[in-house]
Amino acid sequence: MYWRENLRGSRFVQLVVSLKLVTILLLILFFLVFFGTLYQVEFGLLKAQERYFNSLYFFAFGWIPMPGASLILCILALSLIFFNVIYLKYFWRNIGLILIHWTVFFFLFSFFLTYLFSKSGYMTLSEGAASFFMRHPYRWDFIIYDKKDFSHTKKINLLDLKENAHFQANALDFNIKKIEANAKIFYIPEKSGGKKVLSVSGMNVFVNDKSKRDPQKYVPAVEVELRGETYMLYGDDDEALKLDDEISLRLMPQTEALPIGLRLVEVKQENYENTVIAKSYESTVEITEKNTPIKKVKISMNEPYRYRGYSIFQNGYYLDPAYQTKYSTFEIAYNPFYFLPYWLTIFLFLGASLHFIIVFLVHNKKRVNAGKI
Amino acid sequence: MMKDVFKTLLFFSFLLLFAFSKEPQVDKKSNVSLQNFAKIIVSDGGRLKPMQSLAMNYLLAFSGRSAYDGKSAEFWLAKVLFDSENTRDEKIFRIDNLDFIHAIDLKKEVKNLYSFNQLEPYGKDIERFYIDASHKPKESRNAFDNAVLKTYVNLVDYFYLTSAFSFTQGNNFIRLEDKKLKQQLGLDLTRDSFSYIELREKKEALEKLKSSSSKESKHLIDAYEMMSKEYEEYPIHLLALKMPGKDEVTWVSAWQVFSINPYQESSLESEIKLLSDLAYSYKQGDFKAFDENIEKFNEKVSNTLRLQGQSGVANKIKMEIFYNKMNAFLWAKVVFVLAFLSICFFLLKNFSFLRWISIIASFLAIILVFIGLSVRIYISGRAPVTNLYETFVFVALGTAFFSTIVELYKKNGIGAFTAAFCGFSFLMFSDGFVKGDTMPVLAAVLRNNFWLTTHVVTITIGYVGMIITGIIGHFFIFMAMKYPLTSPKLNEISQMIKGSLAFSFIFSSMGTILGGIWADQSWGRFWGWDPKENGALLIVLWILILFHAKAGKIIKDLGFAIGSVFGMVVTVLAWLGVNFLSVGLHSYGFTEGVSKGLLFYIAIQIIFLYLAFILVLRRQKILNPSK
Repeated sequence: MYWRENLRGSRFVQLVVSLKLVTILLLILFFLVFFGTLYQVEFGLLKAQERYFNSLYFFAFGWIPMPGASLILCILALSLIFFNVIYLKYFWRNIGLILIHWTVFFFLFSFFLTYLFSKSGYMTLSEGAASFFMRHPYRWDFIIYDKKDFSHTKKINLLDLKENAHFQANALDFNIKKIEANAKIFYIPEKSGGKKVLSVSGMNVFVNDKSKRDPQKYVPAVEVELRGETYMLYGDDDEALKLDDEISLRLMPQTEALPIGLRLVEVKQENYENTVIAKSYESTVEITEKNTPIKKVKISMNEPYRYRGYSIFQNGYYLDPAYQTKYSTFEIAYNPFYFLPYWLTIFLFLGASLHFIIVFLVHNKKRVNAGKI
Repeated sequence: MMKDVFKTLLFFSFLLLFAFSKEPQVDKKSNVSLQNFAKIIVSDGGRLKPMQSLAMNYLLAFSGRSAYDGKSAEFWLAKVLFDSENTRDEKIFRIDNLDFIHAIDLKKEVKNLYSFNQLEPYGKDIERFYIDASHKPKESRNAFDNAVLKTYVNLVDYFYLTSAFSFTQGNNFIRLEDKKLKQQLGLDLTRDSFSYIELREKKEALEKLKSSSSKESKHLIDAYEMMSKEYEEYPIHLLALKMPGKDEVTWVSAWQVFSINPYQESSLESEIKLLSDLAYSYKQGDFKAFDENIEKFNEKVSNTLRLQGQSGVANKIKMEIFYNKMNAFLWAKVVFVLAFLSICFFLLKNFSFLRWISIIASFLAIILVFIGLSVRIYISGRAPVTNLYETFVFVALGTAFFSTIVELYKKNGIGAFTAAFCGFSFLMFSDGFVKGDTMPVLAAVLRNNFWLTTHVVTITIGYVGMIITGIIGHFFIFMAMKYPLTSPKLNEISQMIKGSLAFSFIFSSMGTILGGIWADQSWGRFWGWDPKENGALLIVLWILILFHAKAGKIIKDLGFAIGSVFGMVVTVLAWLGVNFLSVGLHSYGFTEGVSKGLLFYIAIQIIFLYLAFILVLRRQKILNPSK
């Protein structure tokens, strides 16, 4: 086609589809994935995602600008679409290659759609309890409660909170220091090197013990400096940190209201016989809409329940030994494009297999012609 | 050629006949084979297995070996269960950590194997170290802590095993000197010490004694009730109990039966009587009676299972005994060595007969590994790649199988070499992961998942492809020191690398995507940049880099070969290295020795690539001075 020939002359197109550029981009992506994986050990999965994978750029060593995986994937997608439209030869013998290249492009596109439109969160319920709020996995609010005048209560997105901030509430002046606590923080005895602070739970010693981190979990913490004392406020604390009779502080995960609600009827953990190894977790849940029960369903490991675009997964189980209360945690995901990878997988497998067979047959024919067989 | 093939087949037939015609092991002293003992069904670690497997698992965990004193594990276990006093000097506890040995002031043994009696005096020290080590988070434990934990757990397990049948032995708790009381209970007047089971036989009389106010009666009742309640943790769960309202039988130990109600008749009374009798006959050295009692016991358990519609259990147990006896992977290793030696001689001397020996030997070994893995699938009812041990065996099978196909197609010896080398090496590596039961039950999230199975199998075939590609890459580098880069031989090897890499790409990319689908099914997200996901992505990216660099003429055949060898490093990092990080959803147990071995391999491979690159370039200048 003429327009394809014409576009092939463009230096921009030549640059974008050049194999050298693609190789370099793939190499950068390779190193980003490698170092992003190592970064998780120190800073956890979510920070690694934020810095290396979901970003367009980041600063290595604090000052060297580096492309993020999102930027690289965008350029690769651009290169791929240019190549597919302008350069790819649409012959039958290229059917495998055509399928592979278009499928890879649509894979990148489906990631983009998922990134834009999907959302997920958690809901923890005790037996008998109900909720229609989903907890965000890593977005938190810093809340300053004013008991005397509730209208003065402040809610600040933790992402918007500066590393060191100064606040004034009523007659109190205090400083807040945000802690990079994507890893879990534990309180350990002072003799083991803990920093002496005051906390909600009454323990007065704190240390960011790296060995006890849970990189899959994001639980933030802040240090509060008030009248020369340091207090520790931790995301997992059950109570608010009281600064005086009126002002108290709390870290709370951001929540989102769902169009459906869940009521946990029962949760069961089954162990393998004569062991403490869990064989399965199963929750019986009542789905509600506008406070009206719709149906009762069973949700277990690997067997999510899908309803109105929402997928509800059995995520965790906890038994409070003190009160013998059973809790079940659900992961709730909304992804209107979740079916795309399933279809694309079929096309990719088909393309790769066809290409492999065609190359093999062509190669074999050459060998026959050359008299090697 | 047919004559050669016939000779080869004849040779292998004799080898197989020799391997499988071995008589069951017999203890010459006692003239007992323990065949029936090996068949007893036990519930352990969440699954049903034969007593033979239980014995092997314990012995492996204790000593790192599956036999003791030249006899199979069941001989050792029978002695521990029924004649424990005589096993206290048997050196079965392996402690390799020198710091630990020095810390408890133990005299080092040549093979690092110690007996219970040697370790017992240091019990308090070991317990102190154990408490310290167990309080540390898993990631912070060092080799010393791990050695302490392992030894402590092994000692406790040994003690539990020795107590499993203690109900048949006299003990210090049940001592009775009051003749009147003995008479009242109908006990032997000439003895003061009685076993638990002897008292249990008098349970009605004992129950009546509860109202007695005599000190000795109270003491006796207390001891009896204490043992009934507190010993219920002792193994071995070998009694099939029918529970009302349940389809499947529940497996309990004798002590658990006693704990239900020490004064009440149980539905398992006849089985317990048989257990008691067989323990007694073993102790008395009457092995004929011992064997007969076990046969009767096994018959009773089979009947219970049949009545409950669980006859399939017995078939699986038989299969597991066959699997243990066959030792398919050991024989496969032997045959792979033969294949390897043959192909090495072929590559040096070019005798086509040796190439055929190698192909047939590899084929035979592949069949053995295939049978072994198939039996494992039948027993465990799941895909054969659910732990590191199985992935190594699967990779051994995959590399040998696909390389043999390459050999049949290319006929240049490279495929046969790769098959024998990889088959043997990966089976050897797999041995490093045998620390007990190699078919443990799966965590809840890993069970019954179609996508998980397809993903793991596919991605592992991707690893297989990358390893084959890497080995062929090594061939290219070595050949490039002898032939010019433009020679047809090198061109042919380069084509092989290309084909093999394409094969790897199909399976690695498909495996990665299927992993995404599994994640979507299990966690509600297709991709989460988890370390293991990233590892798989690294392989796919590396293949894409090589193909694009080759097509874009950034690299030529030599660079492509070096890249394919480096692909092995990427694969090993994705396969095993991720476990270094101790993060993510996929990290399974990782031993210190393995991590050191992995680092050593990566270092050696990188040094090799650097030196090879320099040497090949120099050599090429000599071979082709005009370029």
